[in-house]
Amino acid sequence: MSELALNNGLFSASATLIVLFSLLVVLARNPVRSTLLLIMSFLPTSLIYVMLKAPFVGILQILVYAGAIMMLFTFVVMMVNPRPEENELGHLPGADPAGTRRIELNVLGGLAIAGIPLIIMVRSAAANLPLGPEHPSEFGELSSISKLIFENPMENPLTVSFELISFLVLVGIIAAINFSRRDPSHKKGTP
Amino acid sequence: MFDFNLANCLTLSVIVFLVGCYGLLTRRSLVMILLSIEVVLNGVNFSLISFNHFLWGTREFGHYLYMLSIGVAAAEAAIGLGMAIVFFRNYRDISRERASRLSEGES
Amino acid sequence: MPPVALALLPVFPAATALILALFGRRFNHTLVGLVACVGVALSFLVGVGFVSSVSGGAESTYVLGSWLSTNVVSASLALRLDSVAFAMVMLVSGFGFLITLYSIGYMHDDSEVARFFASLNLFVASMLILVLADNLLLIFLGWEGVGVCSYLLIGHYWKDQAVPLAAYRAFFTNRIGDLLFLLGVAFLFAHFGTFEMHAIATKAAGLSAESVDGNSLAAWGALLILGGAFAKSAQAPLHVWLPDAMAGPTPVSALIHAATMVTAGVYLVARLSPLYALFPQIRGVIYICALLTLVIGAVLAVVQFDIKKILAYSTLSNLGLMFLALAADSPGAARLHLFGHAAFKALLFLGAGSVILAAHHEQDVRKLAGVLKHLPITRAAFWIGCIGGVGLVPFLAAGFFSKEMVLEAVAESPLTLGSLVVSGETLKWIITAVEVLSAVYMFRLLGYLESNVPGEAAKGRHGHAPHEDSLTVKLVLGILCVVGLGFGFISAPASFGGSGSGFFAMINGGEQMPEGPSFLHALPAAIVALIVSTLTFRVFSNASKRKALLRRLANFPQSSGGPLATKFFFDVVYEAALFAPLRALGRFCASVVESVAEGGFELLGGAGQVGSALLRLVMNGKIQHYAAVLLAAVFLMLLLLPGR
Repeated sequence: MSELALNNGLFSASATLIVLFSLLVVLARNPVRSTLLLIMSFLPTSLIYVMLKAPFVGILQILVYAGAIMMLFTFVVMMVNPRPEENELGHLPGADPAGTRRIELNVLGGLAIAGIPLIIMVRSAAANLPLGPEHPSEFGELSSISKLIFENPMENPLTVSFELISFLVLVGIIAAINFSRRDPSHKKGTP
Repeated sequence: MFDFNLANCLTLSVIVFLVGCYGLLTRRSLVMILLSIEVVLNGVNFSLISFNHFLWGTREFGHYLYMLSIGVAAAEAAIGLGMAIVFFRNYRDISRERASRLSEGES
Repeated sequence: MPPVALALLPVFPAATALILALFGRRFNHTLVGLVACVGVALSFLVGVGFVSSVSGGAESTYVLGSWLSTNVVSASLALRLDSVAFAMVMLVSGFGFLITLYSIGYMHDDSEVARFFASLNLFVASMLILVLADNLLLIFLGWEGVGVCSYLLIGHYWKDQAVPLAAYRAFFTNRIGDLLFLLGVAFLFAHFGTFEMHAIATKAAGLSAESVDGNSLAAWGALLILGGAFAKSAQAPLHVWLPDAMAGPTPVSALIHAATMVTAGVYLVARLSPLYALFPQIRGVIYICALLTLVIGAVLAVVQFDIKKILAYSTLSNLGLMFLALAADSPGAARLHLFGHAAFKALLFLGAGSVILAAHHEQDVRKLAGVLKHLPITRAAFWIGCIGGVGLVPFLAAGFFSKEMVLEAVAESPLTLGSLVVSGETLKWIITAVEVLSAVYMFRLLGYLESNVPGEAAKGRHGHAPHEDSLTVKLVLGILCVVGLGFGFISAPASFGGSGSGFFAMINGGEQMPEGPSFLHALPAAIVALIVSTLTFRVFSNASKRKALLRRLANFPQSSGGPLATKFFFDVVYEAALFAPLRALGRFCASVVESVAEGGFELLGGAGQVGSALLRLVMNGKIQHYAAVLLAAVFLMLLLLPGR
């Protein structure tokens, strides 16, 4: 098979998997299952990233997203441990199956009304855009990206913002630790 | 089946975004809402990379933006999940109905 | 005296007024009065220093600076002292000083002396500005000032229910006059191009009566200014406030409503007399109004029982006389009577004050019967004042020569208004007849006070007969008795062998005193006056004869709603035509504003409720609802914003 056909085929398959898994994420009743399915949807995504000449980004997707963020979600899901029947279409008293159905259908309809024109618009715009130039040889590799970010640090805005983003993450960590601390001297458990 | 071009990549991105929105608006549990937000972000990140591949050629700005995006997503997930934990600690229940009634006070 | 000292004249009393207004409440009563006296006395002394500056027709001007200067109008703050103004300055500061001194004794027991003396001083300052003003705008400043002080002083006993209303009526009537005055000033400026009174008078003198159109701006200006003068000097129909002004303390009545403020109108018209000489029709209007005032004052004075009201109506009558002289185009006679009237009327008012004080604020003449027996100095004051007021005897009576001069002037000047023409001689006989009434009311008053049977007040309280307590009261009365007597001498014309021409020349800016009537000419009127006075006095001072007369008069059918009781219906007309409609208008406006305001507020409240109802639909606390709204907004933006 030609490379082009291979690319197209791989892309088609991965795209289908991504959409399938994402749908299952939002439709699954068990939260653990949802989390796992999301992790699984990252794999085809990484594959497409590699095909898009972004190998570093593809690795990052697995390492950071699937490795760190999803770990977080898993821990929290374990901790909170909602019982399956509490979760969706609840059979608990106070749950409202008919109401929930109504909400779901409404949302579906709204997203369809908004989404279909959006897709049409996007496709027509994309068809008219001129393709960019050839990629240089080391495009998308870590060396190239690090050169982009860190060359000329004094005049390079990317350096500063990169450091700021790391600072942001640190702030997020500190904030989360701080407000979820359990302080025994407070009565109601809010820190 | 689908050509590997910008239009299809962007279409994929939009579809994943919409799927995530559906989950965001529909799920009953707070943690699942946060998970749906991750789906949304996944779709957005995909569009960043595909734009960079097809339209810009020389430098990898799109990749850099992607890194910013997952940095922010990480921080936001941490804080959001922290809040969900605190919420659970207080009310033993992380449903959206309980969150709507937050202004009414205990139980 | 350098011209700059002219500025000091009003400054001294204004400064003491300020001191008393700020700190007067901490001083004791005598100190307050002394501070006030010092202020006026300083003015008087500085004024005396100017006597050489105005002799022989000279004048002294001091310009403080320019007040208005635009392309179209300009006026300056200029004070001008000629011999006329000098005489007025002496009058105002001299009488002001004496009456302030008197008030120290009269107001000794009063609780609000600081405000009283401050207002009194401010009045003197404003009156001095009025008299010294060079131009019409500056005179308006003094005009307003005396109006305000009159209001403050009439309203001194504000705790009494009827008093604030009287003060308000005085101010309100003056306000009407001020409006007319300002319009008149504008018209005169449009015609003559200047505000300066001296310049206007000179220009007017240069014109001849035939060359000026009766409808010109100058005529309308003269007429409108007349309106202002009528309000200030209580001429009909704007005279209604003067009897009510008696609600103020007696020294106020003496100073403001007899000697000075009410003469401001006379002063102004006299200053502009060359202008009025051009318009016989306007002088016809003055004739009519002045005659009306003369008659109203004289008739109503005969039937009053309040001692101050009798004197108030007498003042009204005499002011009418002054305006008659002005209508006859004789400002000299008007000014002479202005001074003469001040002399005897102030004396009478202050004497009345002494009586009121001794009788513990009793003012009803029937209860004051026979009280003068116990008050020797006051008795002298009343006799001199009444004789002077009626003008009974030449030389001793202050009013004799001045009234004669007015009559002579009227005789030579007929009334012409449209097609109505009344000869001067006729007018003279009408006035003489009314003046007989003055003998009646004056000696009726004197008769009551000298009655052989004492009334309640004369019997005294707790066994003490009424007596003259206060030193300053007695002192000032004494001084004014001398002045009252002396005036007759200094006002006598040459035909009587008097040296009046000097005084006359001074108060009239060098004008020659006209030949007075011969002694024989004046004799008949004098004899009639003497007979009437004696008769009236004998009837009223004898209690039994008085009661008999009153019983006989009571047989005449009299309605309590008749002209005498309702002061010739003026009040009723004012109420119906002016006050009642204004009150109704006020009520209507208030109701409109209320409903608009209420409606407005209800609208605001309703809008708030609607807004919050709308918001309640959106803000329902459901997080996915908020997320949906957010997403919807984003999608809308994406879809609708073109080319982004």
